[in-house]
Amino acid sequence: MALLQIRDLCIDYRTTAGTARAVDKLSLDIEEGEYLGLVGESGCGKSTIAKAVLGILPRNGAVAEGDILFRGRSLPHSSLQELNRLRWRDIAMVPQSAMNGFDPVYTIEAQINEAIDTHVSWSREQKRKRIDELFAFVGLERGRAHDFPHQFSGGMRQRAMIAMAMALDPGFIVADEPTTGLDVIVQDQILHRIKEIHTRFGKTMLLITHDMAVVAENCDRIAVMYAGKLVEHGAHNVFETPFHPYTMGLCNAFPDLADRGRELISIPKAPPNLLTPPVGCRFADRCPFAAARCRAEAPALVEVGPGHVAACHFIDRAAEFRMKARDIGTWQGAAAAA
Amino acid sequence: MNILTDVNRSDRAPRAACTSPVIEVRRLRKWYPVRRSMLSSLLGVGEQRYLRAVDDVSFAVHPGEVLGLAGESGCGKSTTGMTVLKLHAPSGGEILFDGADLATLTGRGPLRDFRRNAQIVFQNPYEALNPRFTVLRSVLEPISIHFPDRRTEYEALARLAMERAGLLPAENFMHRYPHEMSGGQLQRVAIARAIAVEPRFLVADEPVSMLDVSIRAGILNLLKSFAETLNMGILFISHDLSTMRHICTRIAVMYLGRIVEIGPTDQILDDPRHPYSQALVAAAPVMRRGTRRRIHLEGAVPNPANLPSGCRFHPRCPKAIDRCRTDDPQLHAAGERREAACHLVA
Repeated sequence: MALLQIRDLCIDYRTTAGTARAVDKLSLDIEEGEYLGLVGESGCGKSTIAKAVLGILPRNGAVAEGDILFRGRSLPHSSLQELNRLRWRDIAMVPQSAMNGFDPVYTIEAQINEAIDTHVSWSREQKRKRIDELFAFVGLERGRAHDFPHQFSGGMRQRAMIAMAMALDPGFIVADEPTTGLDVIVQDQILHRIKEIHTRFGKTMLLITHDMAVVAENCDRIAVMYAGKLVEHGAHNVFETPFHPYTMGLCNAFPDLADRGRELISIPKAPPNLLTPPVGCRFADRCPFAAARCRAEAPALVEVGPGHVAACHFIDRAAEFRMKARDIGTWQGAAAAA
Repeated sequence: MNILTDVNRSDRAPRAACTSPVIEVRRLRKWYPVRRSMLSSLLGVGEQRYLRAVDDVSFAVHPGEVLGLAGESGCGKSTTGMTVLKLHAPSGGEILFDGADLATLTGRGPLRDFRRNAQIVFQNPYEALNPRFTVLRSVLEPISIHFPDRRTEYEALARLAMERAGLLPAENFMHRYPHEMSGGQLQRVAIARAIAVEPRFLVADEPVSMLDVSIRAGILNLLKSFAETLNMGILFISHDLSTMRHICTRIAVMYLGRIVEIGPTDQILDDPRHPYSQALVAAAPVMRRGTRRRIHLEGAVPNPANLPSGCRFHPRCPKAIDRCRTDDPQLHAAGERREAACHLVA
């Protein structure tokens, strides 16, 4: 059984303009010991999934249908007390902005101790030893544990956040855009630590980001989301042979340092409004290969290779699409046709 | 971008083979005074210290060229962009526009001419546009300031700028307000406003970092096409070397207020010579896994108000030698069309 099973999950946000379905009938498994990268653009629902897993959806958001099972136990149907028991000890999170992750009026050490005290009764000596280990692992000076969050730089705060997430040795760690807003060199150091949590301690990890190179480099498996739907899911080399036109479009739009002389191609137009999502494939409006069927009928995820699924009506023509997608004219044609 | 060539009705002369720079800065400085304690300023003791945000920076941008200014936050790249445009008053050095020093330009005329010719596109299009102006009004504003005697052409000029910025057809966007548009469209409005007065030099300060991946490419290709077809010189400021690979002709890497290396894009990215450029290139994630060698850097960027002695990078440099602690290296030739500021690079 997978460690985390997401089953036909639907998450709704109530807004003044109506109900927006941010995540729509999404199913995804994360196996024990797996490092999954979830990529997509802003508003695709990737962070909403992380929040639902931890039970921290904003007030106007709720799981409308489906289920999230952690070790077979339903998270949306758990009481607050049950969730609190799981948090930090079984599931921990490294949030996007570590600035907001810490309380400004307590020292870092006090906050890590608080997380520990909530769950276990360790002696002061045990706690001190644990923080020694954690700080050594994330590469922070031990003496700095007595500092307040504002005395830390962005990178140091994110290291401290990783230390806190690791404090109770949880089996599952969710990192939601952990390096957004950090400089490249710091980003590289942080991602290296996060990768180590996976390789050295065998933790199950979910990394949420918009940076395709980051997931391609770090994760075992990659899931691509678009407008609340899972459109493609496969091994770390998904971007080498994408089957969904959206994944192809992302690959062509993404600048890669190692790739000389390639022309960048943007995807025309914008994602659909989730208050009134289209009936068919959600990408159809921007897809250069869309046919009448795509606008009428939403495609289901189908297997395209071992452990690789994609939601497109024309997966048998993927090789042809991949070729055509490299031509900027293909995409401009889609923009003109609409 | 063929959209652009179709609407390119520029009557400007075609790109010359060897041109003089549109903008050149020599030993440009922007120093901010650091506030002294009340006691020492009352007693008049202790010397005034400065935060050297931009410290003796020299470079030139030629027509048709995109010069990338790369570096981490706080290295002074944005301050450089603002100072080059005289949006910040320089503390020292020269800014030459078409070979004439801006400091020596007197009277409203020449400076206004520079203001028209040197424009900027900012990082955040949501904040760059007045929310109460329609798109047309935003684009018309600079036109009416700089072309007061071409009143009858105003709308045609605005339409041309919008078309060049990829807002097609222009009528669909003219009467919209910023809140009715997406981030990518807003950035195109900001670009249309900047190019409406036909500038010859454009500063683009992180123009795509707020935008989603799928629309970034469109904005980048647009800027590149301005250099190629309108012969504009562009200073492209970014922390993202991967983006620079696809748009810049040359790259200058900045660290703590100084340019540490400058040269053609492919050379800088494929074979960086300065240890800091090497670390920066090595830190960028790439799509093909296992092809990148990480370089471990010690510590963090020092406080620019309290600079290290000798080479500013020496406390973090894995290759530092004794000389680096005392001698401040200057930019010197390091291969064809390349310069580096490092004692170890010959």
